[in-house]
Amino acid sequence: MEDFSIKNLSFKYPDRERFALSNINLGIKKGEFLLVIGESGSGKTTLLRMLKNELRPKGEIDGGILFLGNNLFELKALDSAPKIGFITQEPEAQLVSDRVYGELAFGLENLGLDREIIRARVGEFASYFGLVKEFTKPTANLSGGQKQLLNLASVMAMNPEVIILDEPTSQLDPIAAVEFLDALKRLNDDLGVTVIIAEHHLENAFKLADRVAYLEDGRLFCCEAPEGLALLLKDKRISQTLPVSSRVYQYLDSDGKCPLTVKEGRGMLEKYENEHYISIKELINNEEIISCKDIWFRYEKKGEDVLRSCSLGVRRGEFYALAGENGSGKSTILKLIFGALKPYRGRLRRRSESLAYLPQNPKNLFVKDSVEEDFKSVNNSYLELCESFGIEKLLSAHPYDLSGGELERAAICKLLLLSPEVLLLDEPTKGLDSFAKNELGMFLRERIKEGLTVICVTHDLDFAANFADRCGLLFDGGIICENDCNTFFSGNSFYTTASSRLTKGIFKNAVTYDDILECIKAGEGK
Amino acid sequence: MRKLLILIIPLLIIPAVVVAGYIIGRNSYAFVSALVVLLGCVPFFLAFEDGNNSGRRVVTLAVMTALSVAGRFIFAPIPFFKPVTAMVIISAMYFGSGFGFLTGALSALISNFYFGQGPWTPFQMFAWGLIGFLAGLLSDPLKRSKLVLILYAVFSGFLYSVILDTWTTLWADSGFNLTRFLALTATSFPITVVYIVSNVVFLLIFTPLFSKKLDRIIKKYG
Amino acid sequence: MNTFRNLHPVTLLLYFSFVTVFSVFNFNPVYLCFSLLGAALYFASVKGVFVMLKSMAGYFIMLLAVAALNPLFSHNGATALFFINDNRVTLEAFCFGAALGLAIASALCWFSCIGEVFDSEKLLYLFGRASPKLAAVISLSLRLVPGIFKSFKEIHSAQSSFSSNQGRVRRFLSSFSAVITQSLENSIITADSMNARGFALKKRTRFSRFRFTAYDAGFSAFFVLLGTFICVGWFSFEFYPVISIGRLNALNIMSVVLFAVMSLTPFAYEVKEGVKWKISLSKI
Ligand SMILES: Nc1ncnc2c1ncn2[C@@H]1O[C@H](COP(=O)(O)OP(=O)(O)OP(=O)(O)O)[C@@H](O)[C@H]1O
Ligand SMILES: Nc1ncnc2c1ncn2[C@@H]1O[C@H](COP(=O)(O)OP(=O)(O)OP(=O)(O)O)[C@@H](O)[C@H]1O
Ligand SMILES: [Mg+2]
Ligand SMILES: [Mg+2]
Repeated sequence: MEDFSIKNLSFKYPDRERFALSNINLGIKKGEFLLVIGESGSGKTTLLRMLKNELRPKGEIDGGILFLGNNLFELKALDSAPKIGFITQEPEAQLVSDRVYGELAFGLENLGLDREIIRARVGEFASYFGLVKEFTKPTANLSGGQKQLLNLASVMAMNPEVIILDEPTSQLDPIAAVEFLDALKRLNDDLGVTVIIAEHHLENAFKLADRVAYLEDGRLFCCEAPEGLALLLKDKRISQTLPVSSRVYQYLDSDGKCPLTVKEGRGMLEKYENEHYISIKELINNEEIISCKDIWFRYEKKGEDVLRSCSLGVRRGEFYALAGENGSGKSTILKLIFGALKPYRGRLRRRSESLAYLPQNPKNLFVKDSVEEDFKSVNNSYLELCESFGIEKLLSAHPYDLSGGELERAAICKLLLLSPEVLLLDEPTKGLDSFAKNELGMFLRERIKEGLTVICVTHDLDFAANFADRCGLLFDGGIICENDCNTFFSGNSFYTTASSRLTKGIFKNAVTYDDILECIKAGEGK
Repeated sequence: MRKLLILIIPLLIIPAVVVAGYIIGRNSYAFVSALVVLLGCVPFFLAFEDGNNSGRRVVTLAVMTALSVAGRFIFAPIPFFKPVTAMVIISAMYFGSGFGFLTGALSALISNFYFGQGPWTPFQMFAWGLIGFLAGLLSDPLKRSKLVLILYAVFSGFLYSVILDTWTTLWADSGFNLTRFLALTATSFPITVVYIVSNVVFLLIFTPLFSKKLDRIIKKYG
Repeated sequence: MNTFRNLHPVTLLLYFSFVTVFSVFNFNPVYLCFSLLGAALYFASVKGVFVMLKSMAGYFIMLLAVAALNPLFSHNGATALFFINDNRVTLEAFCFGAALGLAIASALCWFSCIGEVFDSEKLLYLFGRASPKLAAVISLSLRLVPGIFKSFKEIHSAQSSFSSNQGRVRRFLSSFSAVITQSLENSIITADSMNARGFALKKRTRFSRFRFTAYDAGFSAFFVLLGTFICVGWFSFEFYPVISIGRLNALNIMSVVLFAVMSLTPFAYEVKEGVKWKISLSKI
């Protein structure tokens, strides 16, 4: 039996000329784990929202959708609300209660269920999702990953038939993201719920899927099992986003099944094992432009120390990446360096006073009603810079109407209007797709050549491995290890890139896809 | 039943309480007034519960309330600058009088979670609620003319201070003592004036901004 | 450890309505002394003796001020002490002022206790019984307030490098304006998430963690009984025209004693449970 069958579905937003979705035909089986991929703007969100009556965008709809054999559009609200669950990418804004148990109970309360039934259901789901310790806590005290898990749990408590997720992990740190996807897979296995998920980062999601649907400009290009997809997408730009194992498989044109996991991928590489190693780039050895020596910091007088005897030195003209789990204090360090907070002990020295700071939420940089007005308030000669960023078309838009990547670029552009010497970036790659990320990375490297220093807090280890000079790991209030990127990532087992895990013990110091290719080529050349 | 209650409370129960208080005598005035303002809030709560309020409206009410409460923290470093009254008026102007009452009443209730509940809570709830309610009734002239807006801001500043001073007087004297009332009003007068000025400033700046923001949201999300 | 605040919210509401009504709207110093004593002891057992003493010092100053000021407004009373501008300053008015100060102090002290005991969870429970939708609004507001404050701080510090040439108030206003935009924008996501989970389709129920047990019922009955007998034997105390006490009878004395019992109940409860806990610990 099919949960959804989408027939000749087309959709157009009211004031757009292009169809956001055109002529989609897709059947989604009961209990299937369907991954939807596609470049930014390809219509993933639009497609997912079409499946949920309460969230369907307004516009011109053609074709139809059947849900369990009935017309979805005519389904009664009381049937559709509990049967189809929906989760979006903002963990925080989706919460509606001040306490965890209130959130879990919210949907059940809406259905008018009996108090005792709710009590049983809420208890069961809290323990299934490991939220028992947090049960009575305020939701504001949860970490981002826990918030998203709570969103999932509270949707699941309504016993849905299908659960639809739109980039649920884009705001989470790598470990929380893996945990979230695992919980999802477990639900799919244990309860047989149908899962439909759109994701940009496929490293972890790809292997979980039964089928992967690839959208291209609003059309369904194909919908295949993940192993088959790698070959079909060979010439597409999107193949850059596939898991490293699959990309290497594509590159090698090997026969046999396409590997999806590190375990499967390693077999494929072993025959290339060779002496070649990635040489470590020489580090810049300028004076330290920022130096923190044994700084201590806490937010509240009686609170816990967030930073304890933390030391950090950043040299002029380098790209320093700082990683660490949620809540380890990464944003706090940036704010201290920027001067928005002051350490209560220790010495913090800035050799330059022209710092610019990109907050974790780039929207916080914009206070006016259009990007242009915001730029104007900083510096009147903004046009040239905007052109070099390729954002001159966005100037008249409201900052909140920009897509994630556009917003991030506009924010960095606004910061550069101050012509700073040091740029402090707090998770600039959050919510960007791989292409936007690469562009951003390349752009930053250009600027660094011109003398900029960048300190970047990031969860995105691939981004750090590709673009940073040095990388540090924040743990337990201090920087516990710090090195050039290749040494750093090849030394770690979990806090590292998939490429490094794939090649551990095979290629020395290879931490990015490009490194792997270099090693393979060197091996073939021999 | 509830619909009936919405009518019965203001028309029957409140007068009955007042009469009963009068019969019992002077000592009960403060108690009766507290009861009356609490009962005064109830019809609005009931109407909200019964009304056909979509998720959007409910969230908007919560957001407006939260903004006015958080405003009290946010502007704490700037003395006398408390945007609560202004936010309540804005909320009433754009979302109607019932909504305005609730924004006011809930702002008082919730902000007292942080600043301390006390016997004054019901009076604050009622005072801010009433300011919101009246602003909702006057929303058209308020939107059209800056002068009306300024006058209303001044009026609401006084209304708030009169309601709270009346209660203090009733409480302290078990009856209405004009001298004490005047003395209270006089001591709080400078503060009231500062509040009024800050309200006017706030309203003049934020009313146009808010309407622009709201229009954008409505256009974007329908 | 079991504490007074673990009683069911309805029971607590009953208790605190009694004591606050009896303290706020009553100027009989005999009752008020017990009321203040009970409130202060309970407050000390919750927040510590030092905090209690600190607030008591504040109350005492306020009490003196109210007592001193009252004769200026109220010229009732038979016993004139002296005259200021032809206005009589009476002993009765002074005493009444002291009683008023006592009433304010005990009311404030009880309300501080209420603030400790009645957290938002309990209040929401009470609201939720009457009006589940309004409870949802309050719950959502409570979640939003810290978030809004936090994003204000973030915006404000992020803005600091751009707006150094602006006045302080203007910077606050422009950051607040950005907070409003952000909140309105997020409200759409929140509303979507509520609608997606079937909000407002049906009459809501409201879930809570509280259970009304026989224990709570017992306490509620106890409070109602106490309240009734206190009222029945109410012992009146007149300040004007001269301070006078009605003739004391057995009922009056019972009323005062029961009031003392009522005021001291929370403190006694804490002490009893504390002792019980110590004993049970020593058995382990
Ligand atoms: N509310 C809207 N009004 C008008 N056009 C829209 C709206 N939302 C999206 N679009 C357009 O529809 C197309 C598909 O957008 P959609 O958000 O579905 O893409 P997506 O694949 O989810 O992208 P992303 O990966 O960035 O989330 C885009 O061209 C976008 O500009
Ligand atoms: N304003 C604040 N008041 C009190 N505690 C705070 C505040 N901001 C952060 N904290 C606490 O300080 C710790 C570090 O927070 P920080 O935001 O620096 O973490 P982070 O590493 O940036 O996390 P994330 O990856 O989620 O952004 C956390 O435990 C957090 O709860
Ligand atoms: Mg999308
Ligand atoms: Mg952070």
